[in-house]
Amino acid sequence: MTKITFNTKGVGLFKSLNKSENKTVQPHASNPFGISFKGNVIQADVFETTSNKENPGQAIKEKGKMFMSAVVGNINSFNNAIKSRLNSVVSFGKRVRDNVSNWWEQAKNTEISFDLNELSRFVNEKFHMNEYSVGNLTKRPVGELEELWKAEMAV
Amino acid sequence: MNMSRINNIIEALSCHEDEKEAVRVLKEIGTNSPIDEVREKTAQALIKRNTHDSLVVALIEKGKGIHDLSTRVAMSAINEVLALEDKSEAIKILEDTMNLHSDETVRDTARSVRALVEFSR
Repeated sequence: MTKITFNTKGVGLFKSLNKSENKTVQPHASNPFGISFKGNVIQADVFETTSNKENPGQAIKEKGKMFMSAVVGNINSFNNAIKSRLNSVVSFGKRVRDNVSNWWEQAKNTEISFDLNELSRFVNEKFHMNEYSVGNLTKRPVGELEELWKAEMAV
Repeated sequence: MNMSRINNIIEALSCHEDEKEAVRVLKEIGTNSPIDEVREKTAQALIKRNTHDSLVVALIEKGKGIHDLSTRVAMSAINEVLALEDKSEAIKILEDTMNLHSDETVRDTARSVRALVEFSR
């Protein structure tokens, strides 16, 4: 009669568990179909959707590349726009410079003279206009306004 | 004759502080002027003053203001009456003229203007 001890029974129990843990992972485990071509088992999935699911980092990398290429393209077009605007500003500056130099040439060849009689007539006219403004006339006595009116009618 | 100066003098008289003298000068020189434009501006100035003495000249006296022989002058005067903010004094004078004036044409004109004032309210 054999004695059944805890140790012997325990070893037997844990053996089955150890066996399940020692399973090795096959290289084509991700390929559920296990398709083979000319005897070679396909090692990885060829379906894009499953590979994307397995490598989301790759998809992000590709998107990043697209984004960067778009940014570079925009920078190039921006540079072209700045260059064209700078060219137009430079041409405008040249035109202004030419105009100023022309004006200066004209100014050097122009004689400036003052017609004092004309100037005094102009000032006198402005002064009288101010004298006959409604605001100034209302401050004067009615008798004076009457005389001014009669004088204007007599002219 | 400088018309812009005369216009300024008339305008100054229309708002001058010396009411009695201003109306006298407008009546003596302005309403008796042979120039239509001067009479037109004078009638407008008298009505713009909107006092009893100034309105009496423009609304009652025959041949002046609304009773002027020139249609242009009379119409300008009537327009000025219609443009007044406070028409109470003008209405009172027009009603007195309608009822009491000796001249029939003056009474008729006053009645017409009174009706226009009533319609414009």
